[in-house]
Amino acid sequence: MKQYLLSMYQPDGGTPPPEVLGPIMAGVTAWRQALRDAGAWVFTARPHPPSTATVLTLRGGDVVCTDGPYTEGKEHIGGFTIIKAADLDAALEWGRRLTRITTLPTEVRPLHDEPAA
Amino acid sequence: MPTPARSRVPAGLPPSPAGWIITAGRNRAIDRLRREVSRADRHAQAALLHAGGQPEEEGPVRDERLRLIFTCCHPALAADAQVALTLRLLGGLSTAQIARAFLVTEATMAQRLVRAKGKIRDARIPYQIPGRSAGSAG
Repeated sequence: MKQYLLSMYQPDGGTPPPEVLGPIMAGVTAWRQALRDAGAWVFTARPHPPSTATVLTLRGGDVVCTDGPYTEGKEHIGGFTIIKAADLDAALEWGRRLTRITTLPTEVRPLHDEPAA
Repeated sequence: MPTPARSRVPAGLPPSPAGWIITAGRNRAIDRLRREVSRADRHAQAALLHAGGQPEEEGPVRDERLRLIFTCCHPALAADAQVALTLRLLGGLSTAQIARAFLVTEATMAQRLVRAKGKIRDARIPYQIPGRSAGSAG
């Protein structure tokens, strides 16, 4: 099985009102449970907004600490899930279901095979 | 086999030529109807007789090239990469020929092909004919 990173891209700015967000979150929870039931779920994380980010950069031998995300954009990664899938078509199918739920773009990227620890 | 209803051709002129023709025609029709009725059975028998051993397991399409076309034209690849890859791997065109058709340099086209093949390998784009449920329509 290969691992894929499914990233959800959401627009900057506030979160939608609860009546909109509620059903979406319920849908995402059900999607994640379906992944678990299929034995395809590996990891999920939901980062806080980019405004909470800190960037560390090596500058002249020192590591400099700066506020804010590394790149400013109109969208940011609102959450990501790592899944196991037999091939890209299987991974895309999970991503397709997620995009239908969130109405947001989902990026699917294959992960390098890590040697077994 | 049922006995043929066909009438024998008489040696000379039958006593009643008109009657003979009507009877012969009717018998011919009966023969035809009997054949039609048993046709499906005979076909099934013939199929059984000529099928040697176990029936072969096979997918809807056995052509390896068709699977390769679906891999080359996977929607996860950019449209121009799909076309270039298909021309290269299935059309038998050289990278230089494809580059000319796309109005790009050979180096650019070579890089595009390498990138597309890299994505097929790394993202594990399957080498198979998609099922009915798969595809970009879903």
